[in-house]
Amino acid sequence: MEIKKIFCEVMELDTLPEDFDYLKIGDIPEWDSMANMNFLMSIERNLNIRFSFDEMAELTSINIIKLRIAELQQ
Amino acid sequence: MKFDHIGIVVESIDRSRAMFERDFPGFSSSKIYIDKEIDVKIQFIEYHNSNKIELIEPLSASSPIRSVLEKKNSSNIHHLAYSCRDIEEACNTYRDKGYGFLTKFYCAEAFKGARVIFLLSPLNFIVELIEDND
Repeated sequence: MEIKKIFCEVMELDTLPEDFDYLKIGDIPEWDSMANMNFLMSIERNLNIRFSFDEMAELTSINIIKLRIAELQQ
Repeated sequence: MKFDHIGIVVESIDRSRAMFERDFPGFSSSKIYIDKEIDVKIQFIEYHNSNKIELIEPLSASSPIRSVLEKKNSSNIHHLAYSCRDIEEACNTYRDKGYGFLTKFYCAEAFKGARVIFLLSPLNFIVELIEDND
């Protein structure tokens, strides 16, 4: 499952926000810190990667999350 | 690992403490602490059996705790706190068990500068770990 689909599923959105690639936590009401954790953990399950405990709190924008996923998938 | 306290988010520490004094008396109050990391004011009320409740008052609209008060029809009980000796090992263990990490470590004045960190459990409740340096 790709990140856009995971995002919509976790945030319970019918459509992806237009500026998805530039979104950060708090930009839409659905994306708060609790939803962010569920988003990150859903990414882990679906993409079979794992974030360390000390980086999770900094993964708060689509851009940063995508970059980190790319690093972990190398 | 030892249970330490339950954290409750409140609009006003003074009004909330007064309510506890009226409805659930028999405790002593700590001094008031300011936690700049999450922009809140904190006071502990502690019963004779050492059970502690942490009253947490957000100091601004930008405090990450403020949103708890804005959710209507939901509980303001915010977290369960445990103290542990090797907090880094505990964090790795909880990560293995599927916990998410809402914050990084920071030093909390309310715990004599000990490191604390907030986790989200797989059951969707928040846990605070406090490093036990004693």
